[in-house]
Order: sequence, then C-alpha cells, then structure tokens
Amino acid sequence: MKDILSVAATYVVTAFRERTTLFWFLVFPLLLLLILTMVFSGIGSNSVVFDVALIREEASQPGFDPAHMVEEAFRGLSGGSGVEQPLFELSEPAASADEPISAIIEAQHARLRNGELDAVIVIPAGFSASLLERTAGGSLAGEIQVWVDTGRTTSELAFDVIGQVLATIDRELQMAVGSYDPSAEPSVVMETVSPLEGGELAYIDFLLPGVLVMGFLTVGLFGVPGSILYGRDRGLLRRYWVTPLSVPRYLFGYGLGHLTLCVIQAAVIILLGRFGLGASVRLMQPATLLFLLLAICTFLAFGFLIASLARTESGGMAIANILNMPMMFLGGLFFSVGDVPIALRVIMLINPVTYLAEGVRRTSGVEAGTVPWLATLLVPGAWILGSILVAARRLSWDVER
Amino acid sequence: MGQIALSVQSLRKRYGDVVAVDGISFEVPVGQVFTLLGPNGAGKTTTLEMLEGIRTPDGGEIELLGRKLTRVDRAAKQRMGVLLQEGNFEPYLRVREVIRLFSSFFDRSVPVEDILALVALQEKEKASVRSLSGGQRQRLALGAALVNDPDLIFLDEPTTGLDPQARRNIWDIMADLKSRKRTLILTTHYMEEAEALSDDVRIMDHGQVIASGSPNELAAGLGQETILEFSATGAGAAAEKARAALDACCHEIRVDADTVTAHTMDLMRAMEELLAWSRQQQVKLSNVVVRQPNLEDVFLSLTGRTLRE
Repeated sequence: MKDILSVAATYVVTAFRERTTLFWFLVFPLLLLLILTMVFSGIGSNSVVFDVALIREEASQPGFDPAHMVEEAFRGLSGGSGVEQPLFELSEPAASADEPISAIIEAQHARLRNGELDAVIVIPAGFSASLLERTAGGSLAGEIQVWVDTGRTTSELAFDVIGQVLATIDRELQMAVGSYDPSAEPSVVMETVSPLEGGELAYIDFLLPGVLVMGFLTVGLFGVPGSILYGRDRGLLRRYWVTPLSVPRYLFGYGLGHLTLCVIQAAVIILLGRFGLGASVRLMQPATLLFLLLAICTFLAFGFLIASLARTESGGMAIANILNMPMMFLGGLFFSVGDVPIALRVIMLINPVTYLAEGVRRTSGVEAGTVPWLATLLVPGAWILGSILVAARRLSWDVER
Repeated sequence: MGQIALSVQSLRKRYGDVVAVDGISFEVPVGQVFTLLGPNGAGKTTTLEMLEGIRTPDGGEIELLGRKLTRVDRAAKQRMGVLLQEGNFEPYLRVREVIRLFSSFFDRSVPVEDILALVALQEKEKASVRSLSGGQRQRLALGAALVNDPDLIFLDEPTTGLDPQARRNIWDIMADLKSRKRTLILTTHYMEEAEALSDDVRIMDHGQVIASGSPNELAAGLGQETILEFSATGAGAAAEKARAALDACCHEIRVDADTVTAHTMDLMRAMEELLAWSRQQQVKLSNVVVRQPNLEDVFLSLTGRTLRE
C-alpha cells in the first residue's frame, strides 16, 4: 500500500509545484464560472421569444370575461395583432371529450420538463369570480398559475416577463371596472408553480454543478493523459519499469492523487459559487457527492484510456480534443439540450456527461430528471470499468520501440 | 568459481529483421563486476533490458539469483537495482522525495540518509531534480537504483555523457559497491571504465560475444605486442607515407588524419625505422606514445573498428 500512497503523494505534491497543473485544476474552472455567470446571467434581450402554453380551465362566459382578456393579451404579444417582435410563441391546447383539462395540463408540464416549453400558464376555474370579488372590495384575487422550469435560464426569464404582462393586465382590468388604485393589492395574482421543489433557484445554481463536472472533465481528459504521456515521453515512467511497481498499482496511486486534487478543486469552486456568486444549490448531500465522485472517476478513467491508446503526448491531446467537444457540449453541462438531430441524440445517449450532469442536478434539486436513475449510475459505471480494464492492460511504461 | 548470481544461456532478441542479441551465454559469480563492452548497437543494452525485465527474450534461459525465469518478475525485481541508460525523474520532486518514492516500491529499503550518503547528495537533499547538474542527476539515479540494497545491480552505460569529474565520482561509488561484495552488471563503451572496474569482460559486436576474459587476459591475447602512436606532419600525406615506412616492422597500421597507430613485436626496430624515415623525409613527429595494448586495441584487432565508430 505504501507504493500506492507514495505515487498519490507525488502526484499531489508535483501538481502544487507546477503552475500549469495548478492553472487547469483551479484557475481555469474558476475563470469559467465567473465568465459564464457574467455572460449568461444577462440573457433577456428583445430577440428572445418564449415558448408558452396557455390553458384556459375556466369556461367561457357571456358578457365581462376577464379570462378572455388575459388570453387576448398573450395572443397580442405573440404577434396576433401585428406585433413586429413577438414576445411569445403561444400554443393554446384545449380540452376535448377525449382529453380532460387535467390531462392537457399534465402533458404541457411534460413538455416544460423536456425543454420544449419555457412556461405553462393556466387560467384556473373560478378566476373571473375571484377577480370580480376583489374589484368589488372582496378579499379573493384572481390567481393565474404560471409553471416554469427553474433550472433553465430562459424559463426563469419567461417567468419575469409573464409577471410584467400580468401586472399590466391587472391594471387594465381594474380600470375597466372603474376601480383602479395603484396602491391597492393586485387583483390578478401570479401563482408560482414549479415542476420542482425548491423554487428560488438562479442561473448560478444551474451553472455551478455544470462547472464542477466540466472541471473534472477537463483535468481528466487533458490533465491525466497529459501528465502520464509527458512522463512516458521523457522517460519518467521508464524508471518505474525496473521496480516492482506494477501498472495497475501505479494507476491506483495516480487515481488517488487525482481524486485528492479534484476534491480540493470542487471545494474551491463550491465556496466561490456559494459565497462569491450567491448560489444556493444544495451540493453537500450524500447523493450529490456520490455523483460528483462518479464524475471524477469517470473522467479519470477516460484519461487513463487515452494515455493507454496514444503513442505520444501530442497524440493523446488530439484524442482528448476529439472527445472533449461532444462530451462537453452534448452533455447538458451549461445548457439544457432540447431538440437535437438523431445523430447528436445518439451521442448524448452514450455520453457519460449527460448522466453525470443530470445526476448532480437532480440530486441537488436543480432540475427534474428525464433519465432513469439506474442509467445515471450504470452508463458512467460502464465507462469507468471498460476504460480502466483497457488502460491496465495497454498502458506501457515506455514509448513503443 | 563461487555462487552464481546470474546465468544466461543462448539469450536471443530480434526486432523485425534485425537480430539484436544472437544467442549469447555467460555466468556471473556473486560479488563480481561483469562488463559488456562494445560499440553502440552491439546489443549490450538489449541484453541488459532483457535481464532487467524491460524486454521479453525471444529465446534462451535466465537464472537470476538462483531462480530460473522466462522473464524477470516482481519477486526478482525486489532483489535487483537498475540504473537505466535513459530515463528521468519528475523535475518538481526533491532529491529526498525521489529516494523516498523509490524506496516505497520495495519490500525492504535502506534508510534515505544512508542512500544520500552513499551517492554523496546529502547537501542536495532538498534541491529539486531540475536544479541538479548532469552528474548529480546520475548519482540520484544510482541512489534510486540502490534503495533496496540490491544483490544484483545493473548499470547501463552509467557514465555516458558525464564530465571526467562526474565520471570519477560514479566510479568511486561503483568501487564502493564492489568492496561490499555486490554483483554488478555493467555495460559501457569506455574501455578505461571496463579496465578500472571489471573482473570479467565480454566484448560484443553485432549481437554476439566476440571475446571474453578479464581485461588483462584480453589484452594479453594480443601477445607481446607494443603499440606505437604518433602524429606526422610535413609535405604531402606524411602520415600515409609513414605507413609505408613502417610496413616491414609493424602490422595493423592505422592512419587517422595526421595520427598513426601501429602494432609491433619489435619496438626498437620500429622506432629506428620511424626516426630514420622522418629525418630523411624531413617530417616532423609529435605526440609519440609507446604503450601496452588495452581493450580498445583488442576490439580494434577483432573487428577492425574502434569502439566509438
């Protein structure tokens, strides 16, 4: 065991003495976190169009129909009355004899979870009556239910915009019945309903788990084969060859050292996210930590695999680059991946990042799950096992001659 | 002959069409310094790498410290120390950390302080590898090869590329190991290194052993010859003309630019002929050396080439 611990200690000690390694382990993920937070927290330009489903649960009524006014307002903002830059892409699924309203609402919730919609607006039964009671001096307010996915930036923005629209509708309705009072409580109340528990999550809460996984991905995919192949190209590993140290024990020790550095990396990122950027996502719980550990092990195993397949350091970096792009951008690290072509969907399905990112977000309450629990464990587990088996057999101490 | 530390029979290794080691055999008694001497590409390093467990032999038998092996295993490595011809250490590690790291690979190990003292690196124990000179790095490599107090030590060209002082330092350490009755297997293309340290020498060329014996025995194999060396400068190709002048009394006359090397059984006659010729031709002689044959001469005599060609 002392050989394994010595290899691990050597890895950690040299990493802290080498600036390049420190940069990739600590500085790069922190910079990425800051940059992405700054850039994407400001989403919300005029060009954004929100996909919204509007469901009217309340039956139409003759005469004064406040629900109809709400419908018309959203239709108008969807380009229905010649608006040049529509705010919403509106769909209005209606109940039928075959499909009750509850089924329709459930179906739209599913679309919201899948990323097809940014918000679901429901005008509940009794809305008009409550509204009329408030305008007559009563205590009941008309409640509009707005469902959003707090794990997605566009969905959160849709929530804010819908709120402003409803505030305008409220004012118009009060003016229509001649009881407008700016200081009074609103008559139309937006009931915030999220498909997830936890509510008040911001983009940083979505981003933080992504940056953690991305940090592990980068040091695993580039750092691990980089340092192993550097050592092999320059004869560092040759020295081990003539000692009793075996390849599997070396990999074990190396992995232990790598795990130590990743834990330090994660702690620094989480601290910055929580105390510097105001993240409130719950990462320090056993299930989330398990997925973070699984992510470290998965990318470490990928690093070993690359090191065992590449003949040179530059060859290893080329393989890492080829793997990095689809793994990073087709794994839902920074953005929910919605509708993608079938070829890309296949990559997503075999991409361990898809499962790891979802596992971390799901267990930390950022996002509802779309993948079976078992798959979030089995797919990364299969990659770990396969990669380590290949690496333990193929990794050589020296450049093949 | 005492107990045998290493026995090799008909060892073979081929890389594609190239036969690197062609069925060599030898035995090394415990406590001896055994040297494989030869030019680059002779097969010395490949032979050593098969004995160190780096390469798998294509054929032959190895008996290492009393165990017959088809290839060197982990148990054998526990009792071996290896100084590779090529190889580096993690540049950001410190000297003491390198020794401690390598000590951790073995079941038994010598205290770090003892190793640092043995290779005279006590004052550099906190220095990083990248700050060491070439000679210091080689001493560190030797230290890393000795952390387990090995019974059998392989040293593959341990002084190649070092300056004379650094080379002398390594020789001193090797002499110390020899005095402690350790068995050393050495490869070198420095004949003075082989002469200074070896009990037994195999001269290799093209993957085969072409001569064997102690340095004195090998040199004696050239008979009662004396070597005459000089530089000849004057009109025309003076050195080439000297060859003709010495032809009657010398053999194996070799001309390299202005320098002539000739073997003779009759030194007095050769000197008289040379001096008479130089006076007659008004050729200036310089750097005249008369010496006994060494291993370089043995190799030259056997192959017609020098060790460094």
